[in-house]
Amino acid sequence: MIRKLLTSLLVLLAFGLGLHKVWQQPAPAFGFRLPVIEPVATPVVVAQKPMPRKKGRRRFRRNEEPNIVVGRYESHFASSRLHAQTHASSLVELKDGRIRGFWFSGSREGASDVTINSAVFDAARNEWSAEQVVASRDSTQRALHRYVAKLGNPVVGRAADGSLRLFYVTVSVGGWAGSSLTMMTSSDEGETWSTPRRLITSPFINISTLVKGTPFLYADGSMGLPVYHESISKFAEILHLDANGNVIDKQRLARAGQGTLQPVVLVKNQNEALVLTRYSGKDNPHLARSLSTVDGGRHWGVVEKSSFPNPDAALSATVLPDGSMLAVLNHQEDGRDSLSLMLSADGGSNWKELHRLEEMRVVRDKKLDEKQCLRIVQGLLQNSDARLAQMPAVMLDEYVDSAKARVRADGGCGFEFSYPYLIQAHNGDLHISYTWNRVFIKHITFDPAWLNRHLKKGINADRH
Amino acid sequence: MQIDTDLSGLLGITLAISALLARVPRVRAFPLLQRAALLGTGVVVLSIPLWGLSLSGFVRGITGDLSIATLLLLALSLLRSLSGHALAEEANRRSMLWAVVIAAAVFYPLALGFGAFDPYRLGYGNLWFMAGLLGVAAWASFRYSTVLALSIALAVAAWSFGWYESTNLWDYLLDPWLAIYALIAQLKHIWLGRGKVNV
Repeated sequence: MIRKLLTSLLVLLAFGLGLHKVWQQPAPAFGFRLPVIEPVATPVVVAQKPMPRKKGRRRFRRNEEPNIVVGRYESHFASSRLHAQTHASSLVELKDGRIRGFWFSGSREGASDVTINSAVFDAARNEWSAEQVVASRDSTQRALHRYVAKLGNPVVGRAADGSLRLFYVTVSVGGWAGSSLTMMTSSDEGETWSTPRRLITSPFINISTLVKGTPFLYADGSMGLPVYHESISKFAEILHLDANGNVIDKQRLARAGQGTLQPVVLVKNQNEALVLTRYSGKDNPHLARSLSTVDGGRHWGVVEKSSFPNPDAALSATVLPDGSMLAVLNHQEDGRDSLSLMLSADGGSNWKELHRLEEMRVVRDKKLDEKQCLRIVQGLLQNSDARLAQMPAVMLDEYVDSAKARVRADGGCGFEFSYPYLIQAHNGDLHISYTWNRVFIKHITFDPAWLNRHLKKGINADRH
Repeated sequence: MQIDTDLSGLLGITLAISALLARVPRVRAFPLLQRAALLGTGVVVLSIPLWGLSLSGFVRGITGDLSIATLLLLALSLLRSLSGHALAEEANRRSMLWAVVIAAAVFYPLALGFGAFDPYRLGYGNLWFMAGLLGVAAWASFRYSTVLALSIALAVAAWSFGWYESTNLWDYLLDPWLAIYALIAQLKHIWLGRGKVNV
């Protein structure tokens, strides 16, 4: 009897402490904080004086019409490491307007030498800095005081206090389904990082939480982190992190079996948001999935089929200040050999292709020999980065050779443009990064003038 | 109070390995002092970082942090092997294991995606969940199993102090290793019990 009484006393004491903690900790707040975009007047590129053409023909080509604002559209390679596999990039705008990118790089995906690398794009100098290692398997393992076998997807977000938070995947046993999340913070724009810290997000040995989508902020400054579960079943989730980076809530966005992976949250206003997800199910046609909230993320609606195809591949999207949405995705039902910029002007119900960023489906079924294939690779490399176009042949050959390892991996000539990440900077410029054949991270940036021109073209095309 | 959650996690793993070591028949055959010395040496060896990582750290990477319920059972087992006396009756312990089996059978399928309801979410400080748990603990302390009541109480207290990295109460209450152990132990108990009846 005494033991029972003592136990009950301990129960009361423990629950007193527990209830005190519940009472003290604020409940997760809902309602979204909108990013501030202030497009600045950027110098516009105006088309050169048109070249006269022969009589009888149209006097000007469309993009040569006088006084048409062409805008700025540039591409570069963000990563610079050669003979490595590189994948899963993410971007964040720094306070001075530069763009910092993150990706993982190593001898192959899942290898123990994979590191999380970072570099900075300086628009004024129009170039990416050399990449630096911000986390390795060894540094992560030492800091976390537990065995880590490999690193994966890094995603970066800016917390309400202005610091950067870098989330990346670590695996101790098995494949990516055994992933856990690790977080680091930086208060100097990514120059230095705090000791890595493990986030506990799953009750089953804390496995199977992965990250890909852009973090967002709730109205109270807490952070929403779109994540997904892969073990046994696949489904999208949102983690809710407080000001200190502690997990304070987790929401399941979809049931198992609905094939929703890698959610991307598009915040429309304080209460409304749309989630787009990669589709990993077996239904045909293979369409991306979407779901939405109208109460600031407190409740999410049912999973619906989106209007565009998805070849079981990651996508990225953002909301423009006028409410229209831009997405970057593989606009095809299978394969990842093209990449498109998509636009929705009706809150995500309908999407149309605005621009093809990459297109290599044309060579898919062609039996190209190595020489033909590598000539294409060389052309793509030079078109992707002006620096490479001016590079001595010997150095360019190194780039071609790096790409060859993946493009000709199966003896054919296969291309992959995947894992896009799209952000809009405060000045209105848009930045896209994506995996270029698993060997480089490619960065495309364009300004609102270029976008408006394409929007106009799209509208005119619709009229025709 | 700030707790070094890595230290508490590693302590749990070290305790688990020590308790398992103490159950090895050859170790059990040693006299008490030698057994204690051996286990002490084991703790030191497990805690020495080799190439930046201790053996406990290596195991922790695979197992994750162990729930307070697991640690309580391991501690009881370790004390029993060192002292030779059981601090909790077998029936009391078995009742607790039954509760673990039932909780795990309901919890894990739902938490791992079966259906739209995620019970794991309740662990982030849901008041109703806490109230329900208080009811279970109170009932268990008087009517069912003091070991169960104690494990719930210690789990709630540890969660309140932030003993582990996890901010979710479920991680203090239950872990898959405990669920697997409880299931095997109970099945074995039933099997052996059936054998006795047949004899």
